[in-house]
Amino acid sequence: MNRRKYNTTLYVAPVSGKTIPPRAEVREALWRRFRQFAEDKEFPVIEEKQQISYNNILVSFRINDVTTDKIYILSFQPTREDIPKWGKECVKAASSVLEFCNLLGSEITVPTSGLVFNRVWLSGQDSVDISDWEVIFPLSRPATKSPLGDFLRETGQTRYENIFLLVPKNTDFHIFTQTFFKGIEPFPQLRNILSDFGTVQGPRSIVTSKEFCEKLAVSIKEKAVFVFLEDKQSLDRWYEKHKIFYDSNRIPTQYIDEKTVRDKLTRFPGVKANIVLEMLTKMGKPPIVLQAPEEIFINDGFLCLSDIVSTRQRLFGALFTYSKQGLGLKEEVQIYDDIEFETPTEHSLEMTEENVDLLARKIQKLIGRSLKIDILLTKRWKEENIDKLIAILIENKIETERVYYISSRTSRFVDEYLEESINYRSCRYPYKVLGKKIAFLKTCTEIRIYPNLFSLYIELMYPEDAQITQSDLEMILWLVKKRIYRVQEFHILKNVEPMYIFKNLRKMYVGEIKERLTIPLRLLI
Amino acid sequence: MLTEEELGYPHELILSASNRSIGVSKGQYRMRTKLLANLLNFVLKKKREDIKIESKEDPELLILANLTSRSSSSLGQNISEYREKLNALMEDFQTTQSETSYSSFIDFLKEGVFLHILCKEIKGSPLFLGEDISKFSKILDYRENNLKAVFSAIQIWGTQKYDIVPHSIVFEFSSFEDKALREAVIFLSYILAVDYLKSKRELLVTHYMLVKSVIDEFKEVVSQENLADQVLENLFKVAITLFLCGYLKALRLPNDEKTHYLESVIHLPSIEYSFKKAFDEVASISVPHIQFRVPFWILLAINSILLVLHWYNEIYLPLEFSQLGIKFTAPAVPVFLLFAFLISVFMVFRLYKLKSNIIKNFRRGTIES
Repeated sequence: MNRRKYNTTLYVAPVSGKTIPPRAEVREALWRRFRQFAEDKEFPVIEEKQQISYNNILVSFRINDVTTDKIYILSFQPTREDIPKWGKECVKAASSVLEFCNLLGSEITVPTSGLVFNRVWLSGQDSVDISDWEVIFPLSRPATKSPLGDFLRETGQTRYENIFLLVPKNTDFHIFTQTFFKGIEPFPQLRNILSDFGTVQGPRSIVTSKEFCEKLAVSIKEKAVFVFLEDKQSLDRWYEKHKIFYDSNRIPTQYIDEKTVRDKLTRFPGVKANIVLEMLTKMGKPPIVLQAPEEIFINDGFLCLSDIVSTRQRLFGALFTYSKQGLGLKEEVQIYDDIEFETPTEHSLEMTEENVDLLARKIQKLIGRSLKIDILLTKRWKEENIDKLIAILIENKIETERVYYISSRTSRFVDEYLEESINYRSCRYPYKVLGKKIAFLKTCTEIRIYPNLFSLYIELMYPEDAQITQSDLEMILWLVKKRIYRVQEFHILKNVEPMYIFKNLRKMYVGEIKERLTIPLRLLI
Repeated sequence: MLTEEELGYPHELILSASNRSIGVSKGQYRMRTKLLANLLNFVLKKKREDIKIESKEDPELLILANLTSRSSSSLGQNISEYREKLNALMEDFQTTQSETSYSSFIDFLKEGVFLHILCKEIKGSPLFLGEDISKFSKILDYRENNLKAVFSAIQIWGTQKYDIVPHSIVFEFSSFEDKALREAVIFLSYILAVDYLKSKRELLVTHYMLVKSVIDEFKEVVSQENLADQVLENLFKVAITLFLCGYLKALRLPNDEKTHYLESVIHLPSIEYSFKKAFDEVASISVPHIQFRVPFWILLAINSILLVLHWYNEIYLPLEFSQLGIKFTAPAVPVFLLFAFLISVFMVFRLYKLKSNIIKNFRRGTIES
């Protein structure tokens, strides 16, 4: 058992008085304290952004109060603009912020509000080890399984060949493009790669793709994937226009940037594995599936609720995952355009009683039977909205066990866990529980991009008297790592799958919805 | 370890499932997989594990767990809970009329069919009562004709209600497609054939057909390591069903049907296998100490080449030698022809041995587990 403690840039202060001091007041007092510290140490200060430059890294801080636990959370992070996008620079920046906090000390007092912030540590003991979780290979005949740790090791050793062996060779890839027709690179490269896994047809014009789709016989559609090949800018445009059409017609689509084909697909087998696995998962034939530990499925399913706000639309989405008899999972996403809500801040969502009532009735239709569920929220809801939703659901025999608010942006801090080489790309994910309701779960054990530096913020919103436990975090970790079809990025998978799905939905123009639009989750990954 | 050819028989499938069941019931598997493995151990009267299961678990798991215990009191309670859950799912569907609630109800009902057979056969306590079946049958739509037939079969099982099994059951069983009910149909087609002699011919055809299909399906499974839990569950379910049909020790069929079974299911594959094995042995020459076998067709080809060579270019070996001043002269020997003759004699000898090899294999029995 790893008993080591790892430094973080996170501080917590209990609130001793009856009332919680206002956030603006605390922030101002803290900034005065940090500015003084920076001036004493002669570190440059950027007053208007409340940032301090240390080792050429701009350090910023965030504060967050948790009323239920009566605590204040203070966190330090390197600012995004100041560091390049990729890898090592991110790690260096994190180290600088850790060093900055070392200089600042383990205790920060705010005399005006009586708060004393103490530095928080991650402990090697408080971690979720998933190396024993099982990876199922449903397409091998007969279906077999392997512990996750062994599977990832074998994948590394064989350079993804173990995965390519599992992929059936009978898929029909229909390629559509407006630019890269026969003979024009990178079409030939893409055709060569895909022909290892089935027949490649096309290229055809994207403009005619909908017409082509409508004429396709059902039996052919069942083993077809539509692949769109364009440059990034055009691809985004086609994605916005076309994606919802194919998803509602149950046709799996894959949008591939021509740069990915040129620079990555031909050179890196991991990228090839990602694309092939993603396409097959969209077809409903996933070659690999991360099996949830049985204990996670105490309840019948998870319901994830999120706003889908883009520049063109304000929609609301519900994603329901439930275990069927045996091991299979059924996952559906419903989109509604008649739920009215407000998002007063980036992290919060409010709706009127009538809209909660309408949403509950829609959920009842989506679930359609009596069962026990957990609810995941991507924005913080008002307590009375949650209570109302739970009360209406229970009238319809849908019992809510727990409600979580999950955020990847709240109280971002960095830690030194990955500075120890044994933890790099390990299947052991540390967590920190603060008080009764809050936990931080470090879901990335590799750093490639800036967001990988930070942990997920998880808050147990319901029931009031319950405490967040390791099994809650295991369930959330499974929702993150079940995206194993992105196998090359397994160690950097950070967000729970529903959050990723709703993010994707924001990019597409859904159009007019009659009451609701239902799409199988597999198509939206 | 059994070879693929040897696994042509239901009792071998039971044995091979049983070889896995002990490891599974102790190992890190899902609760359902472990309970089915333990149940197989129980019916085979092998040592079973004491698997701890919480009372708040799914009633299906509790039934599987309690089937292996001596007391029947908890089982009775679990059966009631299972019925309650089924009724709740049915009411859900009746209230919402949604496709989701219908499929949940049907899935649960199909799972219950296998449990019903287990409970009735092992403990004598049926899961479904007559009124339950009538109630559920009314809800089933046109897609569930297989399930309707299974329910009808369950209702007449052990009652001797008619002279023959109603045609609807026989027909649905013969065109059976629903994999979730496969074990139930294997068992019911067999048990009704025993009870209703006038329908036994049709029912046993279905039964043997399904037995053959499961055996074919599990041929590959047996040699495979790290099987997924769902595959193992299916294997144990099939093994338990075949055991309940009496395949391990003695079939429960009347004598004439037993003979029919022996002829169609055991005898024929056995002959095929024995012949193949014996032919492979005689139709090749193994060179001692070298892993090399010369197949029969190569010998035939060599023989033909020798004859052609002789036709075009006769070579004779003069046999002349002198000893103690006496000179011996034998007629010249055609070399190619001589070798061709020797090969022919060898081949005829091996073919003659084929007969004795096949008889020997039959007498010894081909299964050496």
